Amino acid sequence: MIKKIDNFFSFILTKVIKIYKFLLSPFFHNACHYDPTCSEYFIQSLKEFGFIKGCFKGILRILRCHPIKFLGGGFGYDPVVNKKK
Amino acid sequence: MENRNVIIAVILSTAILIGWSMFVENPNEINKNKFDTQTKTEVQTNIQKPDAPQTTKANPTKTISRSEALKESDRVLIENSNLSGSISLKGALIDDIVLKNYRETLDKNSKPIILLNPKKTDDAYFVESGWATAKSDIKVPDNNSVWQIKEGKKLTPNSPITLEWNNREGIIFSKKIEIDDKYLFKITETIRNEKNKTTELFHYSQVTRNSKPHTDAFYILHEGLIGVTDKNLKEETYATIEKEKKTYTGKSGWFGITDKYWMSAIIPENGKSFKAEYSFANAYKANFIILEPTVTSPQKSASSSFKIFLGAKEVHTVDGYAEKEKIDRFDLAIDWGWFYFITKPLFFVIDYIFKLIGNFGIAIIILTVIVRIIFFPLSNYSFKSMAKMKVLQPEMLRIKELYKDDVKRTQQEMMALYKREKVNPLSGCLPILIQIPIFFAVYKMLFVTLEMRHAPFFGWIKDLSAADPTTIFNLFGLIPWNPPSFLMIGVWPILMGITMYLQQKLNPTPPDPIQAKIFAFFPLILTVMLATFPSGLVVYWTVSNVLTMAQQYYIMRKTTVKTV
Repeated sequence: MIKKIDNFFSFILTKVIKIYKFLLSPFFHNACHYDPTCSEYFIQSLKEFGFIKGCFKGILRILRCHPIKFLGGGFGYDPVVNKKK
Repeated sequence: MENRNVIIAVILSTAILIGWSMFVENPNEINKNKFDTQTKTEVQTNIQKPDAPQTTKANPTKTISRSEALKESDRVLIENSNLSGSISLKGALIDDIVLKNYRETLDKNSKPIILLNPKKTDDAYFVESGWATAKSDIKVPDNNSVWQIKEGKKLTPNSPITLEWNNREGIIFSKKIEIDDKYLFKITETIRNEKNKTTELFHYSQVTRNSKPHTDAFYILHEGLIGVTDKNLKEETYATIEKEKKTYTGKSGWFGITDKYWMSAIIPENGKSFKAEYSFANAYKANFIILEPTVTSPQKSASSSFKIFLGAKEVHTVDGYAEKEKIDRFDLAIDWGWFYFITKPLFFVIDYIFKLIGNFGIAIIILTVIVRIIFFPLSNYSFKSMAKMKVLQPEMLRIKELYKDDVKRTQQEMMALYKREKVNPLSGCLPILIQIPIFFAVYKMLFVTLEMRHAPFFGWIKDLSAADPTTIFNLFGLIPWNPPSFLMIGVWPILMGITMYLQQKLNPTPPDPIQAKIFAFFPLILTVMLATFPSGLVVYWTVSNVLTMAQQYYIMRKTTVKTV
């Protein structure tokens, strides 16, 4: 049951992110520092870790996506890694 | 191809217009059920304690005009520099309040805002207070009791008044009413017991409003019953209260009925336990009753006091009352929304600039520039790396050439290059996402704060909180024709559309063809949508677009490399 609810929320959020990626992100002309991009990363981590942990990881990634290094900014290849698998 | 685009444009705009009128202009139907899921009313704490009496049961079948109603009973006049009105001696109701510094429309000669109306009028709206008995063994004053003036002639900040009513059974009730120079009343009610028996009475107050006002009915703005119990905001729409009543208990707070800019609220004395209630029975009511009885021993008197706010929700006034009068979370009377912590500071910045410059429109523009300046180093941290970028240009061109059929690969190689050379021209997702709540906060601020109401900009913008009044469909006023509201597309929204279009031209079109098409229509869609929004927001957006373009142009010149 919990699994189902979790999947449902993940599904909705994934859709929302996809809509964002399709409609809004072209405005920002590929601003993301990372590969995969923050939105792709978010979707993947929802799939890997479920809703709560996935959101947490996704938000952390967005918080890393800026140019100021001493505040944790970075760039480059940064895939979703699930250590359990 | 061209024709098809036009057809798509027409279909899309029609869809938006219909959607707009369905969801935004008339969201009542949709919002009706929204709040039903909220917690059921809290359990009543003490059943023996009486409720505040439902004094306005008799729904007057015949209503009379405001001026007739004002003549019906003797009155005590109220006057300070913000309010004028009167108190009806019949029932000691505060039922006539006019906010003399605010006008209904932009016209300086239009009527001042009328907040409260006497009981017998169509849109009766008044505040009462009194005493309830547990066993109905004591005759208490009600809405028809005629009070005598004991002290004072006219209620002003310097001259309080005292009203008195004798129940002819040995108990004398009195009300001392004071007012400050803004919108706050303080009422001290005293019971003088001349009997040989101790009396126990429960102090209550109630705001009653007969008719639902015309609301702006916008889902981001609360209008209806409002209050705070022990720091928790309790908002209910008129529609919810029609269906069920809500009860709260607490030790501090305030309750009332709010419009977008005006509010009537009653404030029990801090620290006294009360039960508050929102209910509907021919009229909307918000009341509280103090749960601890006021006990009066023989030949003694006892009193209880509370406050009433009747006025305009000016930010500084409301905050001032919250602080000086220690009214629990009174700042929440203004619907700052989820982004309270951004919206409110933003308002203070704008208000500060306004006080220096004297024009809210300019203040908005300066705010836009400030926001841009704050984000400039963030989104273009690469000032230092710009020189380096120039050096790297041949290498970048080589990569582009090498992987020109593979966008993904090009991006990856660019990333690798940036990393190797420690440069990065991209802003990142965080700086972009941070700006979304700021945009929303500007919108909310324009929408909710009274200070933006009737705040002029230049030329035809006389009210930044309202939509641009011009429209392209009568050539901005050249043709004597008033188009229907959905065709009101003014100068500023069109400017916004144009700047947005130009800004898009500076960016590469998205690779996906459908995406590219939607993208191309965005300026048009947003122009139509924003035409109905507060013009201040459109000004903010337009200026923001121009600044973004300037910034981008500057960086492109500096780096002469188009960002990937």
